This record gives sequence, C-alpha cells and structure tokens, in this order.
Amino acid sequence: MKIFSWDRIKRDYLPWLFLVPAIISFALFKYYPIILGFFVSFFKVNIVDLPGDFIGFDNYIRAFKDPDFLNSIKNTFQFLLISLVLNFWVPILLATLINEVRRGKTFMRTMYFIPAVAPGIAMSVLWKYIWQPDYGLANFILKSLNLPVQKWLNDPALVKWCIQFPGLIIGGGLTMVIYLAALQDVPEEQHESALLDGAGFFTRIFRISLPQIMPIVTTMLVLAVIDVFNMFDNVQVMTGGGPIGASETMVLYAYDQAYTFLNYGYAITLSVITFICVFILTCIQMSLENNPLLSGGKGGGKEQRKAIRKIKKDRAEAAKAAQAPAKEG
Amino acid sequence: MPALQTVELRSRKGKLTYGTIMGILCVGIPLQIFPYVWLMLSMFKSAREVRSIPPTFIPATWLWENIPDTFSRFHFGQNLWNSLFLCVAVILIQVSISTLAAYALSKLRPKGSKWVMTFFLGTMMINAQALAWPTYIMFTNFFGVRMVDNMWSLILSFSAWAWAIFILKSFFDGLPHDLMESARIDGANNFRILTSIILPLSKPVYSVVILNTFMACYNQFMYPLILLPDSRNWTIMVRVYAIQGTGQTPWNQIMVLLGCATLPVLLVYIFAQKYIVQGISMSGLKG
Repeated sequence: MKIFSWDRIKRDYLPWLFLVPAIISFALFKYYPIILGFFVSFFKVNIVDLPGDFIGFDNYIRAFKDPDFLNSIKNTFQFLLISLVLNFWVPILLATLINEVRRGKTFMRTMYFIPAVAPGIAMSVLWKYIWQPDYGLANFILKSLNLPVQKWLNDPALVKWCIQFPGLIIGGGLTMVIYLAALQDVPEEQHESALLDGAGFFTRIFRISLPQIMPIVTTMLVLAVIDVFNMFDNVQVMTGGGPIGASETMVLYAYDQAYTFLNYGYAITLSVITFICVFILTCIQMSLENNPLLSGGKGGGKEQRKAIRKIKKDRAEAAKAAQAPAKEG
Repeated sequence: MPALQTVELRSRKGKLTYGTIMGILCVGIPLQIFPYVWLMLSMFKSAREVRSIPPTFIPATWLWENIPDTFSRFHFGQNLWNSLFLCVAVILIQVSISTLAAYALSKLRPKGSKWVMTFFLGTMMINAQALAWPTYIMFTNFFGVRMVDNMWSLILSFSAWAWAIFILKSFFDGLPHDLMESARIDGANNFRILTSIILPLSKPVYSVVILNTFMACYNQFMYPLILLPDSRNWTIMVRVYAIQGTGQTPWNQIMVLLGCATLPVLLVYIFAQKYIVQGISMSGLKG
C-alpha cells in the first residue's frame, strides 16, 4: 500500500480547504476574543502596551465588592421579573388567538409582526419620545383620563417598566411567529376527538395545544432570560443607566467602565462574568428538548433523544389510530 | 391547527368565541401599528408642533422640506451609505464562507469534520455583548495594524455566524446525494459541483440567509458604537443614538432620522416577508 497517494489526499484532505476560511474566521473572531478576555481579566490593562500589569484575581474581587456592579446584578434580576410579568406571556396568547383565525391569517400575522422588524434603536428612541414627561404621549393619555402625570424614565421606580414595555410590541412579534409555527403542527385529530369527548374550547387550549408547544415555551423562556442578561441597546438609548443607576444592566456597566473610565481590564472582567452567566443559561437551553441544535449533533442526552423518538412514535400511532375509523366510516 | 372546530363555528357559543377572538385581535392591530404611523406622520410636523400639547396626529402643515434639511444637517447620506456598505460586505463575505463550510460539512464530509460542526455551533454559547471589549482590544493591535475605526474590523467580526452555517447545512443535507455522484462521474470537481448543482437548487435558503443577515447587520448597535468611534464611519443606528443623546436636536428632525432608518428594513420586509418569517420559524432562533 502506498503511503502517499494522490487520490487519498484528494478525498480526505482537499475538502478541508472548504472549511479553512470558516475555521479561521470563527477561531479569530469568536474563540480568540473570549480567550483573550479571560486572559486579560487578570491584568490591569494598559491599552498602549498590552496586556499591562498582572494583578491576579484582583479584578474579580473588585467586581464582587463594587456596589455599582452588585446594583447592576440586582437590576438585571428585576428586569427579568418585569419581562416575565409584562412581556413573556403575550406572544403565547397572541399566537393562540391568531392560530384560530380562519380568513386573513397571513394579514393578522403580518400586522402583529411588522413592529418587530423595525430597528430596535429607532423604536427605543421613539419610545423615549413617548415617555417624555413634558410633551410625551404617555402623560397626555394620563392627563386626558384625569390621572396624575408621571416622570416615567426619570422615576427610579418606573424606569424599568418603561424600558421593558416597548418589548410588548417590538419583541413580541418575533416570538409570536415561532409559537405560531409550533401551534400549526398540533394535529387536528386531537382537537376533533377531544371535542367528541365533550372538552370545551378553553379545556382544549390548556390540555392539548399548550402542552404540545411547552418545549418551545421553555426554550423561549431561557432565551428571554439570556436576552435580559444581554440587555444593552435599549437601556443605553433610553436612559444610559440612570436615574441614579436604577436601570444599569451588567453589560451597560461594563461598557461604561471601558468607555468612560477606560478601565479596560475591569470592563472585560465584568464581560467575562456576564459571559459565564449566559454560558450556563445556554447550556441549560441546549439540553432542553426541541432544540434546533439537537439535529446538529449537540446537546441532549441519549435518554432524552430516545424519549423524544418514543413520543414521536406514539404520536404517529395515535394519529393513525384516529384516522383508521374515519376511513372505515 | 385551530382548536376551534368547523362544526363548532355553527353553534352560537362557537360563533361567540370566534367573534371575541377576532375582536381582541382587531383591537390590538391599531395599538401595534400606532407608534409606526405616528412616527411617519411626525416626520412632516414643525419643531413646535411635534412637542405641542395636546399632540396632533395629522400634521397641521406638511413640511416636506424637513427631509432634505435633516439630511444636509447631519450628513445622514454618509451614514446610510456606511450601513449599506457594511451590510453588503458582510453578506458577501459571511455567506461565501458559510457556504463553503456548510457544503464541506454536509456533502464532502472529510475525516474528522464532525468536530468542526461542534466547533462552529459552540460559538452560539458566546454572547456577542461579552465579546465586544475583547474584540476592541484585539483590533487595537491586529497583527500589528490598528483596525479600530476601520469598517473592515466590523465586517470581519461579523463574518463568523454559526446560525448561517447551521441553516445552510440543514438545507444541503436535504439535497439528494445522487446528483453529486452523477456530476462527479461526469468529471466535475468539488467546487464545480457546488457552483453548478448545489447553488442553483438552494435559492430559497439563500433568500432566508441573506435577508436575515441583512436585518441582523443593519440593526447592529453595540459593535459599531465601540469599534467605530469616528463619526465619519458611523452607521445609521449610531448616528440616531448620538443625535438624540445631545438634546439639542428638534424632535421633528429626529423623527425624520428614525423614519429614514426604519424605511429600508420595512421595504425589505414587505417584499420578502415569507423568507424572513421562514428563517425565524425554521431555526426557532432570533437570528
């Protein structure tokens, strides 16, 4: 056997040429920066003469003693609560309702999806205008209802709600489309047979439709949590973290440390901390069922995949069984 | 499938339920669309009218000159051009890199390439926000060149997107293998097979990938803000942010900027809504 054969090289190694550009770009612009981030977080960075002085874990110790950073963690959790109370359930409800529409479903979907395509920054600025205390629309509505006017974005108690509220309209559309796609896969036979058994409309929604889209709801829940940990754009535009740090998020605080105070090392340490949080959350998400990445060969234990296969098989059999009598009759 | 059955729609209760659902949805639409319409109308108001109390809905006088005034005051054309250049360059580079990789992973499958897919998908676990400052540090001295304030730093860092490879690979997986084999027997090499067999069959998936890349790129804010400090290089979003932050600009001009920043995506969406929606529901991911 020839050790050096042109055919073998052609078969086994030449195709790697197709992969090289992507491998270089992913290594250079995704993996290298994060490794660099971990490395640099142990330094007091000097931007002119990288990496600067080695200071060990000082940045991390400083982070967990920094009242402003702890405040931003607290804010993140408050934002999370608000987003669950205010935003999370709306797309599910909308998708369930739109799914019932017989005529003009595409029209409905388009109308509810359009606000989601608008650039987030533009919408945040627009909402900043709406929340203006002096001449904004929100106060105008309150005034015409004879309610006391509010300071909205300048009020530490309200600012988080004001920032999350546009998410109802902006972010809702995207998630709604995903739920809608899932709801359309719920087999009609199940609703038919449930109806024969005397289940009412709401019973069917809660017992049949919702349990079937539950895996996607869980995935979306984790994605919503990740989104809150990554919050930057809308806060930066609407308040820049104020008033008195009431809307400061973790990413925003890291940004301020680097941009305003030029503490690059400290800012990157904070970034690394957010990365670790998001990484753990992503691991949870990836191990959940119905993850798109499962088909890419990642995440999900063997047992889990087996269970999914079994559920699918059962479903197919149930559908067949439901169809068989119909055909006979 | 709808939970409400056709049989039920004939009964009074079913009609009532359906009517309520349609009622709720129809009430919701104006609330959804209202901020948009208001934005578009405010573009033509005067600086005084846009902050008048009570607010007006339809402009009292239609000031069309707002638009040219704003464009000349803020060099907005330059920002628009920057954004479009960024989008086109990212689409060209990212899509070609992803195509080559997805093709190799799906059809050629050289030894050991299974790990490469994991390598690509693993980047989905890294949030872009955490990478921003390390990327900045990297570009301050990128192989001896200062790349900060250079459009290419942004274009290159957007060139790696696991989502695109994932979508392309799953589409290529569905294409029959026999086609390739017969082309190979006819003497076509790998690259030839890609360009003359795979690509012509993949037009739908490319619409999805290109449109979603455009949307993602156009809406970028944090990276341009950090990597391009010089105002000549600003993208639309950074310009909009910077202008509203000064507090000096009248709101009607800000509205013009917002309207002009929204219009391109709106147009793209109206003409290609099928593909964008498909891209979102195909992956279950928001880009």
